[in-house]
Amino acid sequence: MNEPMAWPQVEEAVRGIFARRYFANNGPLVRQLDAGLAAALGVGHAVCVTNGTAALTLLAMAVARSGEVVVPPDAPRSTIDALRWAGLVPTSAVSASAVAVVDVLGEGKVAASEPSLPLLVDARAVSPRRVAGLGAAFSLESMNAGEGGFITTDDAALAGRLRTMRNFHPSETFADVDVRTNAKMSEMQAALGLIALENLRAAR
Amino acid sequence: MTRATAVGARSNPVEHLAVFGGRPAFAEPRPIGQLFTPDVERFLALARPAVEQGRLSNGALVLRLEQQLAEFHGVRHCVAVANAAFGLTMLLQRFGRGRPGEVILPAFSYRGLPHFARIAGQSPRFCDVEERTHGLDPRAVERALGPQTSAILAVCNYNSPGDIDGLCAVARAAHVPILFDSVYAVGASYRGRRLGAFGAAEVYSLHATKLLNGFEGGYVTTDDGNLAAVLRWQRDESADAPPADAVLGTNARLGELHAAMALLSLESFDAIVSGNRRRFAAYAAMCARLPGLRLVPVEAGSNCSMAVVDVSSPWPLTRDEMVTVLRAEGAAIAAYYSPPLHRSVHCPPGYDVQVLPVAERLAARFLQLPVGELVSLDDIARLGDVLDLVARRGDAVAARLRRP
Ligand SMILES: Cc1ncc(COP(=O)(O)O)c(C=O)c1O
Repeated sequence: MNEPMAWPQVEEAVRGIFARRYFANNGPLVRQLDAGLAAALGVGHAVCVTNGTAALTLLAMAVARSGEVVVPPDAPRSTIDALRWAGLVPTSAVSASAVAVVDVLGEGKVAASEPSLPLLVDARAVSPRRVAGLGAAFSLESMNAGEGGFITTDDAALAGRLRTMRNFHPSETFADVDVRTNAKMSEMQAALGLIALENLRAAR
Repeated sequence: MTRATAVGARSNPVEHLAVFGGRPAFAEPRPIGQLFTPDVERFLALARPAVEQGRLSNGALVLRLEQQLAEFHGVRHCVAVANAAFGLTMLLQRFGRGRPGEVILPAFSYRGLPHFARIAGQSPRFCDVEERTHGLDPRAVERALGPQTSAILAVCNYNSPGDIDGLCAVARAAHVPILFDSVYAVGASYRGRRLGAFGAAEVYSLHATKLLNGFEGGYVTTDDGNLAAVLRWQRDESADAPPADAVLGTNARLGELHAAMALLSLESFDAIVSGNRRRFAAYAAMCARLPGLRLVPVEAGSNCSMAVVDVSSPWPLTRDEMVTVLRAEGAAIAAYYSPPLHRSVHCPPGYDVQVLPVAERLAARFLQLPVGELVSLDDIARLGDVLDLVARRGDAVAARLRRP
């Protein structure tokens, strides 16, 4: 059970969505949340998606579609599975076929470091923050905002791939990618995310 | 100003078309999706307790939705998911059993399907469809089946569920699981039984553009309790041991507020379908007077969630020219399932592309017209005026469009 949100803000956001009749498909609130998160966290790009686990899978998939990925020895199954969905083989030892390193924040879990490989961060369990590495996956649940997630990165090309991979729409195609899926965040999710982001700003 | 006076005001009537600089028929785009909008007060009443109790996931609304949908479809189990893409991908991953294999799917369908197969660790195998139902052709499936096949992903379209018996027979003989993407066939029946329990499972979407609006969302229906348990485990990223070998877990939960929205849509199912049928009838009457535009017929019981026209001779414009002309008028329309998947960017690199004649023929001719709650009967009449003008001045319109 989460800390509840203030109802009046939610009500106002719902009325806005119903008045616009814009419910999904990278609508105005999703775009606002993408931009708001990037600004609040001081990162180049934030890409909102269905949830934090989808964020981790999408991030991994945007970096590599095969090969090994180095994870902490006691990484949780949800991290392992999220990487397997991307087509990667999690392992705790650095090998020649490793394509990335994944750290898991919040449980003191660190993978064997390998500076020559891109570092991805499973940050679903912690509140949003700027972290080192190529990209990080966060969950809106950590902000008491229900289902939802996002990826942060300073790499514009990676962000373009992620924005392309989260949907199928020709007008939301920014890069050549190998696979795409539906990992879109809805306007309702984004509305809760925006309220949570506002609360986070106020608390700081 | 009515369209008729506007037409009279210009010396050359074809200049009245928006594509040649005339005023568009629609100031606001007319979409091709349902976009059902329930009463906002009722939505707020359902959403408020979830928000105030901080229970935005795993709550009573999703359970109620699953129950009501199971009843609606006449199935034992309904598993709500974050969207249909998750449902399809989870099922294909489960049927892959941890080994690479092929998923047989129709070449004339939704562009996401080959991607879902690939994320599930499988390769798509595109098959031809039937001329009338637009669904997988069982004979084509039979030819494509082999030891590499991990599943058959058949699609029930808005116009027809397809040859479900024929496909299930082929699947049974080959001992291959078959699942149905029934996203566009909510409420349709096959041999007197409402869709929901055919094959190993069926998958539906709750995306706003689909018949039942849950913002984003989806659900899987099945009579197979073991499969439902696997799906719930996959969906809930459970800490429990996996219920079967080689299944992958993820988070595919549907949020409570999405479930609230879907519950209100489901309650309005009859009214939504009635509205669709009125619009469909208006399009049928319109096409009846326009030689070369044939409204693709639907089987009895169709939810009429789409209106697709077959553009052919003697219609003066090609299908693609029609897309240009109608888009300029503010109809946010598109070619229907074109290009076919095996000839599209959604076909994996290195795929051995074969000629699939029916899929290729259909994909070249079909055009989707605006549908859903934001399209009134007046809008359809207006669209009819535009098409009447194109029919009357076909040579002039075509010549001007094709001018280099
Ligand atoms: C036939 C078909 N299947 C599956 C999907 C995916 O649905 P969702 O948007 O819920 O992921 C769609 C969406 O357009 C579709 O048209």
